[in-house]
Amino acid sequence: MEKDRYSGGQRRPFWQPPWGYREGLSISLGLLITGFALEAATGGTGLKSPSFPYNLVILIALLNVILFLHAFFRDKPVIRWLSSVPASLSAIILLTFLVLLLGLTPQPSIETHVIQKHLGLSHVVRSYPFFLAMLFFFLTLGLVTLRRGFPVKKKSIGFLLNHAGLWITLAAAFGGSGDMQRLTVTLQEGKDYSNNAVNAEGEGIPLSIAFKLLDFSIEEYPPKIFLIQTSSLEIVKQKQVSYLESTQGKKHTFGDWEVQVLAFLPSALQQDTGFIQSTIMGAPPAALVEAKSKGTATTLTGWISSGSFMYPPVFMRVDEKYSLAMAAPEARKYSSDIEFITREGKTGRFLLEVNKPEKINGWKIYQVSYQAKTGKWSPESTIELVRDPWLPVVYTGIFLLMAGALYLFWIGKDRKKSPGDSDKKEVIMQQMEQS
Amino acid sequence: MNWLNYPLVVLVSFTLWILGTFLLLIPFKRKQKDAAGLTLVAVGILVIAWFIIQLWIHLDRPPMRTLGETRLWYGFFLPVIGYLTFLRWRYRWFLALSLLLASVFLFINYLHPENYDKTLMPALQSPWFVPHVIVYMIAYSLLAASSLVALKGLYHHWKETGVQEELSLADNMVYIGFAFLTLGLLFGALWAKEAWGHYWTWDPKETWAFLTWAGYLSYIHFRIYAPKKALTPLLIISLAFVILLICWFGINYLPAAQNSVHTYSGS
Ligand code: HEM
Repeated sequence: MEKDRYSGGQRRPFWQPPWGYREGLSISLGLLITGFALEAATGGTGLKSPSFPYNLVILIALLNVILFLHAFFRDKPVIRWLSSVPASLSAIILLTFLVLLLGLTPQPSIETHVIQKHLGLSHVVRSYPFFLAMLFFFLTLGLVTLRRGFPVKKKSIGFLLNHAGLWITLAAAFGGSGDMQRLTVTLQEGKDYSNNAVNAEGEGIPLSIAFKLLDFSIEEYPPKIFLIQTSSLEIVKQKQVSYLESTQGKKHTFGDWEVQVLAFLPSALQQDTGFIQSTIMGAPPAALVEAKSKGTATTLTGWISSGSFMYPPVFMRVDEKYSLAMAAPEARKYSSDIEFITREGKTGRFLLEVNKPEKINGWKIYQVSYQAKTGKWSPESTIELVRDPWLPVVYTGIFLLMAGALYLFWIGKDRKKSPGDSDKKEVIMQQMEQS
Repeated sequence: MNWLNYPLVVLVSFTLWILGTFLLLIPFKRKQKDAAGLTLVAVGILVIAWFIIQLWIHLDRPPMRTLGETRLWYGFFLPVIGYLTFLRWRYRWFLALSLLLASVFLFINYLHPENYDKTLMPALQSPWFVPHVIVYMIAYSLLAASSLVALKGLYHHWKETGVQEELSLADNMVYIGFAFLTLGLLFGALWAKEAWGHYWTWDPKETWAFLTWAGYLSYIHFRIYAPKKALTPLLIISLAFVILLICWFGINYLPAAQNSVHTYSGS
């Protein structure tokens, strides 16, 4: 058993073929340092993702380089090594290391230290080191896919689905990112058609579709009622459930107090006699509650309200320390009723909801946000338009990968080779490497 | 059929599953008992399926809108996948584990009936929610199990008593677990596209999910090239599991996660 072959070993001098992990990790380190140097030299601006047609040209060139290397130099030690596990793992480790940096630094952070910026750490996925890591990764993954996957045999189908699937997915996702457009449009209720979109950099971009917001609305859950400490406004945690839902008839026990909702108004205003229903802007929800003390046999009745951006909250004191309070209601669903007209004169109307995007003229349109302060009275709604021409390619890759995963589940680790055979395989591989 | 019949349904399924698992687990006259055990488990699953269908008819919409309703689907799909995995790989413990997980979710529903009317926040109301979560639960339980095997392997390595058996069991678990992990990642991407407009944004949760995936990917490939090495692959599994735990629990505490779309705390 030649243990040393895996880690480089003393017998084979450094950099003398066949290469192993030692050379691979050195290459990774070299790429990392080169990347950081390039990043620093260019002032930490990173790379701009190329857009059509440059990205397509670059991808086709990369693919051709890989095909060319495979076709004419596949038996050269370096190319052989590039399609080996040690090279693959070196590429995976380099990429993973950069993603780890990404996972540990806030992106993009507001206060970026100058060193962080100059190393590309404020924008890892657009940085030079990441770009070099990706090149190494695409090269090895491409070469190994060609070497082991072709000619296609029944046995290599799982391998091909996984490796080609990953290559296609990542190539389309990274190569195509420069063509992706994400624009937002903020629409106001009662205003006329607007086609003023804004991109991530805040630049205005006129669209070929104009939108008009007929209505923005939020459906809310019944707000929760809590027992709070009056001085600190802190919620008093109960044994199991800490809240009472504001729905007429519901009951809950808060410590010594048994509380029941006698009436609930989703939108109400306070009068001398209590709350009455109202539809004016900013009218908060309110509930008439009854609290019975089990210990002292007292019964209190009163109105509580969560308040809104226009009205203060109303608590009900139950004793000198505690009060009942209503939390601000949470959104169940929000939606925009929108009319549109395209430059070609096509018109239509749709209801836009979270998780239910609309497709118009090649754009996918999403409900994004509304004015947080006014909540359900928000007079505006922000929608996002996304165009991603590479999406079908990315999805093709994703479906290959899914098929590959199912294959992996069903076949598992190939056990047709007995342990003795795996030795044989190593011997063969070694012979190949030395030939 | 509505939620009022739920306790009875759960009781019937639990009884069938416990009897079935019992028959499958005791090592005695396997041939005859396995068939009986599998039938009992299957009938238990069908009872849950029947309840879901009845509830669907009763509600006149797919029961997939509230917390309680999503838990029903876990209670159905986890045993189905456990069952399929058993048919394919004959892992008795895995079937038992998936039934246990399913039972926990079904039982939580029984204890907290208020879950039936807790509607999910808008972004979570998606047909992708249930498959995404189930697939991840299965991946995580298998990968956690592989870490236990790796710990045993590390102990044997230290005692110098040979670890090939552990490694080969770990291989199987990681292969199946990795298949589910990949599916979970991809389902998540497809869902994100529908909900947030892009399939991958390097959000902290996504970033750490990628790191977890890369960890197990490294294990699989390391094993292909150096099947005789013992210590390194065991250490890779252990490290990958630490990353998995960070991805699962630790995200909220990382400085990079200030504005993750995946931290749903506070609701
Ligand atoms: C979806 C992700 C991946 C999966 C599921 C996967 C799975 C596998 C499996 C199961 C094998 C063993 C095949 C066999 O024994 O015939 C394998 C081999 C291999 N994979 Fe991957 N892999 C993935 C990604 C990658 C990546 C990203 C690289 C390189 C950057 C890579 C490089 C290799 C290499 C070099 C081999 C060895 C081929 C040989 O010499 O037999 N794989 N992979």
